[in-house]
Amino acid sequence: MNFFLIVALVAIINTTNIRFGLFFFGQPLVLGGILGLILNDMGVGLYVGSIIQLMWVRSMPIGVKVQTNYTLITFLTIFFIKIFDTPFYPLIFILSYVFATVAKYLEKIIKKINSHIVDLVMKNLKKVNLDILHIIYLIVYTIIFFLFFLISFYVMHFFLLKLVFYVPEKMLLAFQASYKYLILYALSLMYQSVSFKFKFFYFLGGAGLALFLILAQLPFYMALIVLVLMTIFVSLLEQKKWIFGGNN
Amino acid sequence: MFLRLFIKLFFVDTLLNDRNMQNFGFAYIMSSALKRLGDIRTYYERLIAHFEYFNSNPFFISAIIGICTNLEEKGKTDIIYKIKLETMAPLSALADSLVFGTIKPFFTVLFVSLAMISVKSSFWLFWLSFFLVTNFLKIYTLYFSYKMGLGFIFKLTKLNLQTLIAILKRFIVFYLGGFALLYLHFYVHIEASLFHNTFYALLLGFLFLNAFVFSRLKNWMSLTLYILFFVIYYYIKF
Repeated sequence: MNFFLIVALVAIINTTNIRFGLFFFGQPLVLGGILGLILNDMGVGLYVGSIIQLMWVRSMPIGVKVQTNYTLITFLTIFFIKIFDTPFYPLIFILSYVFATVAKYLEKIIKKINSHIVDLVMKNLKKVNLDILHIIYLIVYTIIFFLFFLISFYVMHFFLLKLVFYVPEKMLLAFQASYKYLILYALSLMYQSVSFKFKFFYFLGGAGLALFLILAQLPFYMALIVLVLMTIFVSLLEQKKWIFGGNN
Repeated sequence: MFLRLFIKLFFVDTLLNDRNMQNFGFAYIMSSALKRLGDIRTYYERLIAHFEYFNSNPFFISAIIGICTNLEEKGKTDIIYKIKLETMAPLSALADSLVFGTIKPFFTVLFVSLAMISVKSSFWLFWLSFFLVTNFLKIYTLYFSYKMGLGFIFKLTKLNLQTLIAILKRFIVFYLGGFALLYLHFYVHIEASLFHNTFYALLLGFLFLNAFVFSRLKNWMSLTLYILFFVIYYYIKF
C-alpha cells in the first residue's frame, strides 16, 4: 500500500478519535492490528499495539485535559520498528513520544482556535449551515494532522538515521533483550488502572489460582478457561444476592 | 428524530473548545430537535440559549440531550439550563468512571491477553466490543431519557451502575494476577530458573516495583527506568 495512503488513513483514524464519533479505531491495539495487516507483520503490530494500549489505559480525556496522541505513537513506533528493527525501539519510542507531545500541544491550539470559531458562528448563526461547517472543519482538521504526521515521520527518520550510529554495541544488546519482556512491563502497569478496597488480595488470589492450575499441570487453554470462569465467579461473589438471592 | 439525534451525537466533540467546551456540539445536536418544534424565530432564540457552557462525558451526553428534548417538547424551557447545569457533572463523573475507568481497562486486559497469546482477531474483537457497548449506552440513555424526561435520572440511580463497576474492577485485578502468572509459565518459561537465575529474579523484582511504585510516574519515566534496568544489568554482567 502506498505510504501516503497509509498516513492519510492514520490521519482519518486520528480524526475519529475524538473530533468525529469516538470510533476507537485509534486505540493502539486496534491501530496496531490494522497497521500489522497493512505491513504484513501482525506480530509487531499486535505486540506494539498491546504495549501502548496498556501504557495509556489509565489516561482519560476529562475536561480541559488533552491526552498525548497515542495514535501517532503507535503509528510511528510500528513503522520505525519495521524499518530499523527491534534493538532501536527505545530511541524510536522516545522520539515518537516527543512528536506525540507536540501533537498534544497542536490539539490545545486547535481548541483555542475553536473558541473563536464558535464565537464567530454564534454571531452569524442565521447565515451558517451547521452541517456543512462540521464537514469542512473535519476535512481541514484531518489535513492538518495528515501534514503533521507526514512531517513527524520524515523528521524522525532523519534524526534516527543520525542517531543509530552512536548507540554502543553493548547497549544495543540490552535493548534487544528488553524488547522481549516489554509486554510484561506494560502488563505490570495495568495494576494501577483500577483502584478499590482489598485490590492487592484479589491480585494475589488470581496469582494463587494460576499457581494451582500450573501445579495441576493443566494445558494453557484449559487453565485460561478455568481462570476466566473462576474470575467471573469471584467477581460476582461480593454481590452474594445476585447468586444466592436475598432480601435487600 | 431519534435517529437524527443519535447520528448527530457523533459530532458532539467536533468543535470542542477551550472556553465553553462542548457547547457547540450540544447546540448542534439540539438543533435537529428544535427544528421540529418551533417556528424559525423561536428556533434561533432557543438555539442561542443552548450555546451556554457545557461539558460532560460524550457517552452519557445523550441522557441530557434526551431530557432537554423532552422538556423542549413540553415547553418547560425555563428549567432547561438549570437541569443541564445540575446533571452534567454527576453524569459525567459516573460515565467517566464507567467507560474510561472500568469498561476500557476491562476490554483492554481481556483482549490484550488474547493478543499476547497470538490471537490475531483480538484487535477487531476489542474494537467491536468497545464500540458496541459504548453505542448501546448512548442509544439506551438517549431513548429512555427522551421518553421519560426528568424521571430518567431516577431510573439511572435504580440501575445500580456502581455495582457493575465494582464487579468489573474485581474481574480486572483477579484476571490480571492469574493471567500474568500463566503467561510467565507458558510463554516466558522461567519457572525452572526462577530461583537459580539472578536475571529473572531481578526482572520479577523490577516488575513488582513497577506495578506498585513506578506505574504512578509518567509513562516515559517508567519506560526509561525499565530500559535502564536492562542497560545497567548488561554493563555489570558483561
